[in-house]
This record gives sequence, structure tokens and C-alpha cells, in this order.
Amino acid sequence: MYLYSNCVGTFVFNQNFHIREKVYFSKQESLKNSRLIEKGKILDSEKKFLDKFKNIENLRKTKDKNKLARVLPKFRKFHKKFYEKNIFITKNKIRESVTKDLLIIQTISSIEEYNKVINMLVKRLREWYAYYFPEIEEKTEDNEKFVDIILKKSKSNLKKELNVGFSMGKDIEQKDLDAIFELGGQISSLYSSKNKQEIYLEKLMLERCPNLDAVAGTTIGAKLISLAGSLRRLVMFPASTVQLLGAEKALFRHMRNKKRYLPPKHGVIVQHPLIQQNKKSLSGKIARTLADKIALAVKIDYFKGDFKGKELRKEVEDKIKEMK
Amino acid sequence: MKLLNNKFPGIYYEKRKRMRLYTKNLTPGEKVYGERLKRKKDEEYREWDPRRSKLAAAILKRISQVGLNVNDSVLYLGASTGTTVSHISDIVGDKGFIFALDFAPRVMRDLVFLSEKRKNIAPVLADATQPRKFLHLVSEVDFLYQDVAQKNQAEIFIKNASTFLKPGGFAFLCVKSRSEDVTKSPKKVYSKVRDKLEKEMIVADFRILDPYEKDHCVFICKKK
Repeated sequence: MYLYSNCVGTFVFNQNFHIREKVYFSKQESLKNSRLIEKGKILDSEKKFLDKFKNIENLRKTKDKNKLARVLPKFRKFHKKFYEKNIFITKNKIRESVTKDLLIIQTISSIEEYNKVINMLVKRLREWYAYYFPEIEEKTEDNEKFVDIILKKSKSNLKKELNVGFSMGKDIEQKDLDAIFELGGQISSLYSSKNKQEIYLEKLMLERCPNLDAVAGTTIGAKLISLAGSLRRLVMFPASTVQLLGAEKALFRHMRNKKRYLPPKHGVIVQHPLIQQNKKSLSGKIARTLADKIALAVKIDYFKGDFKGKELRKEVEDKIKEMK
Repeated sequence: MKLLNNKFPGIYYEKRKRMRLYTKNLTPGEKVYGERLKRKKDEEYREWDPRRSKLAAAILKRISQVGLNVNDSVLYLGASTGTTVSHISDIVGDKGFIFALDFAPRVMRDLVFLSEKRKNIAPVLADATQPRKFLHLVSEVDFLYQDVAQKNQAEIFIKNASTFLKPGGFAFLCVKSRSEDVTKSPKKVYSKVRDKLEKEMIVADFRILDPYEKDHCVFICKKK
């Protein structure tokens, strides 16, 4: 006698592989049981038959391909049942596949897109506003500040502040000005929603990977996860790969022609303050140590270890002191 | 609109300036991926783009046979969003059945939507490299189709064929040489794959898919 279960039900076959007894699963049961089957556990429905018949062999784990080949054709007539169960199981699996690191990836990508859009619009705003009052446009380099100032203060106030006697800007009619400020208002609300997303990202990172957040910083940590595809994949990477994530173009250019192009020193971690603040000649070495500690931090996060981010970061800082 | 020939049931063609393949639409009025629909008499046909489907490319490269019949049940590994799957679903028809398998949840979402419209497609979210892990979701099949872009494509193919394919059933394998090994020349990769296949199965035909698909080839195999 043989026992076999799949998402449709549990079946008992006799010696000639004819179905002798069967139990069909409901939708919920098939979901529950398919999870158990994937884990290699025995189902409740199987236990009954295991008690009832002695000398019965469970074919689910059998290594004998011939026996399996006798059983599998018997399920051809159950295609309608397979259809129902598979759709239900797959829908559930898709639902379960949504994890916190996917949210992190979407958030960091959205922040990057905000940056792109804002830059584009601010460029337009600057050009446009400069017809009206070019002096302030020239003076303020920071985009966010620029948008803020022109929305809050009037031209006459700004003139006094900057001590401009005669402005090159033309006094535009109010209805034309309104169009400019409409764009300005949009940009400023884009800035505020971007800032909100950044705060949200920080919360997410602290919740899911506090160690990575402490060593690499929120943005870089999130970018690393997004480049790897998921936290799980980032954990699998060696430190040397982490060091070069985001520098694939340079890396493959080097691999194609080693004489002409040097290997890259760092990928996205080049934006890390520890690399930015130190001498450029040290950047390669710092990137190597930093990537080392990031790889460690990610592993602690993934396997839910204690918080060691601060120590790790301090280790990097100490090593940099040694380098100097 | 004519039937291609009796070795390719369910596949139609029309020849004006160039050869165009069609399948009879199982869900009239509905497009799957933005393909062109054509009405002839009372039937509706969907155009089959060889640049998006390797099976269509292989047929246009004059492969001798596919072994896919009406009413067949099919195991499709690497189904993605269901471009080729939808055409196979047209070919096998209402009484046929397709287990469409993919590993990525993102593309599976589109496939679930497709399978809700077409009652002969069952979506399976599983890893094709481990047939044992989805043994409980699939029955025996008449035809195996594999198009996975990853390493060890031949091994995965043989493993799945030996588990799920009926004896004497046909199987279709797409090899992407660049995911087998980027540095080796495609021809070497193909011959290596062929050696592996010939140990376990009968290789019936082989085609390189240029110009439709770069560095890809297909094998038609028969289970011993």
C-alpha cells in the first residue's frame, strides 16, 4: 500500500497503484497542508491512514522514481482541483512575500525619484524667477532655501536685506507672478513630503536593521539593500562585494580591460561621511574597512542579534586613526 | 489564416510581406500583452511575436517539430508574466492544462491575473531547481517547457523531465548561453548542454534563435 498527499488531497494506493481511498482538502486545508508538506511534516489526514493500514509506504519522500512515476499520472483528472488550489496557494505566497525590506527598497527609490524631480523643477523655477529678481537667485545656492525664501518674503523686503539699489529684474504683473509661485508652492510641498519619507525610512531601518543603520547610515544602508535586492541577498554577499555595490559599470570595465582601467575602490558607500571627510588618498582603505563592518552588521541584523552598531562604527573610526 | 501544418496543431500563419504566426484566442476580445488581434470569419486570432516568445522564434526558424498537441497538459518552468504561456494556453485549449511556474513574486502577480481569466493555467510560485519542493502542486504532464535564465539549465531540465514528464513525452528547452557562462562563446555552451542532454534524453532538434533572440538556442527533446 502506498500513501501520497498533494494540494488536492491525501490518497491511498493499492499494490497496482489504483486509488483505494481518498480525502479531498478544502481551500484552507490545502493551504495549511501544502505548508506542512514543504516542511516535510506528516499531515493529520495521513495519520489516520497510517494507523488504519499497516504496511503502508508514504511516497512523498521516496527516492524510488518508478513508484512516483506510477502515482503522478493518476492526478491528471484533477486539473480543475489543481487550478483552484494553486491559485489560492499562490495568492497566499505572494502576500507573504511582502517583507519590510521591500518597503525599504520602495521608500529609498521613491526618495531618489523625488530628488530627481525636485532638481528638475527647481532649475526651471530659478530661470523663471530670475526675470523678476535675479539677485536673490544668484546669492542662494541651496535649492530648498531658495524656494523657501521666495515664497515667504516679498521682493521689496529682499531688496533691503541684500542691499540691492537697482535690480536687473523686471516688475512682473501679479497674474504672471502667480504662475511662478504656483510652481514654487508645488516644489515646497514636494520637499516636505520627501522629508517625511526620509523620516519614515529612518524608522523602518531602525526597526528592521538597526546595526546597518548605525554603521552605514540610513540612506546608504537602504541603497545597499536596494542594490542587493533584499536583506537576505545582502547578507550572502562578502564584504568585497558590499564595497563595490553600485560600481558595477566600473568593475566590469576593469574586468574587460585590466591594463587600461583600474578597479573601482568603492560603490555607493563613497557617500559615507567617514570617506567624504577624510583624505582622498585614504578613501580606498576606508571603504574596505567600512564594507567589512557593514557586512558584519547586516549579518547581525538578519539573524536578529544584539545591537552592536555603535561598537562596529567605533572600530572603523579607530582603524582610520591608525591609517593616518 | 491557415494552419501551419499538421505537426503544429493550433498554430496558424499568414504570409504577406513576412511570415506572421497566430493562435486562436481562447478569451475573445482580450489582449494579454498588447499584441494585435485579428478577426477572420467568426474566429479571433492573436498575433504571436517571435521577439517576445522563444517558441514562436523557434517555429519561424523552421524547427522540425514541437510535440505540443491540443488537450495536452504542460509544465512551464520560468513562466514570467505569461507571454508565451498565454499562447500555449491558446494551443492546448479548454481541455488542456498548464502548470505555470516561476520563482519571483513580482511577475507571479501578473500571472495570477492571467490565470483568473484563462481557466487552463495554474500559477505555481516555486523554485524550478528543486522539483521535490513543488511535487505536491503538479501532476504528470505531456509536455515540458523550460525557459529559465540561470546557471545549470540542462541539469534543471533533466531533473524536471525525469520527475514530471510522461514517458515518450516531448520537452522544449531554451538555453540562454550568457547566463550559463558570460565569458564562453555561445557555441561551446550549446555543445556542452547538448552532451548533457543526450545522456538522458533523445535530442530531436536544435535551433539557434538569431536574429530574434541573441545568444539563445532551443532544444526539442524526447523522454526515453
